[in-house]
Amino acid sequence: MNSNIDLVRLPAKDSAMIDKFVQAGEFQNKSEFITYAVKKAINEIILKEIEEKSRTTTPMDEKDVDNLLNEIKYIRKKLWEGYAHRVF
Amino acid sequence: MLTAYFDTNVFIIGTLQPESNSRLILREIKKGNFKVILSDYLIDEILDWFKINRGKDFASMMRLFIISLPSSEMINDFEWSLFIDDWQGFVADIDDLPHICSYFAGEAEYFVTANRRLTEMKIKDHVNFMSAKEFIEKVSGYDGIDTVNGI
Repeated sequence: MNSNIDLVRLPAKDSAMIDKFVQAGEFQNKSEFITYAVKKAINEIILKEIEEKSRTTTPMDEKDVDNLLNEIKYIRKKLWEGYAHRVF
Repeated sequence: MLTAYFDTNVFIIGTLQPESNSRLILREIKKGNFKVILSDYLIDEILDWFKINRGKDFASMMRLFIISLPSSEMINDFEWSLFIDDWQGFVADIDDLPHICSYFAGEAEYFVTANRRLTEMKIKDHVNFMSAKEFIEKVSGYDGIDTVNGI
């Protein structure tokens, strides 16, 4: 498996709390919990950045939605040409 | 855990439109309350759209956002292609098929999209299609936002 081993200093109470989640079967082990928590934090930061960048966008009307769906359809058609060679 | 497949338009609209049900879905996803089924085809579509319309930097940010989704499962072409023969006859546009097949391969319970053409195809009898607004109201359990097509 291609992964890094990072040593993380956790407060004892947080470490004990993670152990509780593992014992309860919510996560298979401590690594799984930490991976989940890190991904969640990254996702939260990125979503915040995305939200800030789109703060001034005007609401889409029906025509905007249709245009967007057509743009996606165009990309989808092009993509399919590439994928079709691989899957058939 | 509840499992859902979100079409490309949900990710794009959720990113661009602060006052949308798709944005509410992105916030729900962030909480990790349900499993998101992703596919290589879906990610390629999203990133291509952002590269064309918002530039490479924004597309990179979207890539990071997608790969950091806390509860997700990736369906690759060699997995979704196993379902093509079963569902090919139910979809009018063959280029929609990878999304439908990924939904089945990931055993998703909901397929959220603003694409009404897709939801009117024969496949509608087998796929639990809903708009972003319906998903927020029926699945997340709170009031959605009144928008065009429930986006």
